[in-house]
Amino acid sequence: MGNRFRARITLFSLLCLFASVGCGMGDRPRAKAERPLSEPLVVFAAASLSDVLREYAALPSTPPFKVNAAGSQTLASQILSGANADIFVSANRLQAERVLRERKGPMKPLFTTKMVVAVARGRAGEFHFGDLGGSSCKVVLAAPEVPAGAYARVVLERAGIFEKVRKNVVSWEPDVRAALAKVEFGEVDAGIVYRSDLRGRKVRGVSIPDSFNVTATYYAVVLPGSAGKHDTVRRFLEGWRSPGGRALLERYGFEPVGGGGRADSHRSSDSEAFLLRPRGALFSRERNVV
Amino acid sequence: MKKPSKRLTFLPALLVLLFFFLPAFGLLMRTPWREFFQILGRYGAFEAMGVSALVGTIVLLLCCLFGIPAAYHLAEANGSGTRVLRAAVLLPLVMPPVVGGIGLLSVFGRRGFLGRYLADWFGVSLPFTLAGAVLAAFFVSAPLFILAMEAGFRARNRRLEKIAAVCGASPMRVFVSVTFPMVRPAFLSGAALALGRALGEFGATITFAGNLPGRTRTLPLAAYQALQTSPEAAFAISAVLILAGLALLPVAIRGRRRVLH
Repeated sequence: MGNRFRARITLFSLLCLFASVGCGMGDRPRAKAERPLSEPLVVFAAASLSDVLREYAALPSTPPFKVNAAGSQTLASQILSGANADIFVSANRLQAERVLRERKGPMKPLFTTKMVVAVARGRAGEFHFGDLGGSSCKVVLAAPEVPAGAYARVVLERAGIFEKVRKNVVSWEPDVRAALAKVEFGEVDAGIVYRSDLRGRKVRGVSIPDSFNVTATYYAVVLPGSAGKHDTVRRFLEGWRSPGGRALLERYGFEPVGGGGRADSHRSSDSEAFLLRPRGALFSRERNVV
Repeated sequence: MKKPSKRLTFLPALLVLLFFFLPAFGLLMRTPWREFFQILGRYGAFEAMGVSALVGTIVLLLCCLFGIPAAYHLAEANGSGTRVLRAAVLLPLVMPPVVGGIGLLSVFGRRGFLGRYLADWFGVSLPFTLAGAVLAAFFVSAPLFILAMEAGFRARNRRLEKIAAVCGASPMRVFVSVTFPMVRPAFLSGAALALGRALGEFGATITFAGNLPGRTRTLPLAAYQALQTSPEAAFAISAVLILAGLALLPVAIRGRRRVLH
């Protein structure tokens, strides 16, 4: 009995030793400095950028990078709990600033897009923006903490139909692409997504009147972990302004920042103000949905 | 020669048990106990608890209704087709839950090959409803129940049933007063495992039933959603699930021990 117990103690202490050695190795700064320059950048990008980034990677001037795509709020949480990312591209300012509250780094607007209603193709008849609030219309939206969900709410509140549409929502999705997929499956009638999400998808786009629509701005945050990769980070960020990058953005329906969007600036700052409201407010409202 | 080998195998055994135990431990360590209930309230956890409880209860009822007969016949069957039937029970266990959810959509969705008729003929639509959440949870958890019950039915003493029948008991009476008491440990263990799995269902639920507070947002969905904005709330909601799991463990273990002996 005593013998076995002693053996257990020995093994346990061995185990602790292994564990502590393992931890120590990971923390050595030496490992970071010796990283080869050709190592691909790790880009945490909003789910809505999955396709455009795949094409962006194919441009000859783009440095090699790997993408982790999810809702911006998920990515921000991952980064804040220690995920190693070089660049975070958020679909709104709120999530970018959430990361910046705890991590230092420059933030830069990359490009913008607009919202649009995605309608299932099999759905018979015409569909107008106002039909989102109509009876027996099944709607899927990104959850309120997801940038696309927050933008959608601004759009619907401006149009004065948020309460009606909320009653039609059958699911609050964790990212905009999950919402889009449910429309594409034909499981719901419509959803609000980014204009740039529609490319190559089997859904119909129904435009949102200009007076209600918002400008969604993507922000890139350069994270401290990218130290030593300055050059590749710069090439990744500047590449969007190259002729190839601009053509790519145009094809998807993104707009470069600073180009002609003057008339929207008032409105977009308006929506940002909404997005910067404390998130408790978003939650308490949303919880009332039954 | 026996002892050293025992010692050698002790390390991996200890490691794996530690590995199973650590997440629960770490979670309970980081749970914000002080404002536990306020946080749960703020993030809609009570509503999600209601949905989860309802889903779990209905899943258990369905397990009794469909799982017990299925397990009984699997235990009795010994034809050549039995293997196929047994594989069917295992299929949901080897299938990733998300895939299960997509599969359920392809069958019961509005454009699914059955869902189309359900919608056209009966006006019934399962995706994004509580019924959908139940179906998703039942899909992933019923196999655990059926497997446990099947083992119980196999291990039972058939002679007692025959004696009861000879003494004039009706088949129903035999099942209720002779067969079921014999498989009760297996029933409890299977029910506990299935309930635990049903309460934890995430992938199939979010894919097939969506995420709507008060209707299909179960506790795991609430935990996942909370994680995106407030890790504290995610810890609190996860603690609820861990505690529920810990409460189920004794039932599962007691049942399992009786089955083995």
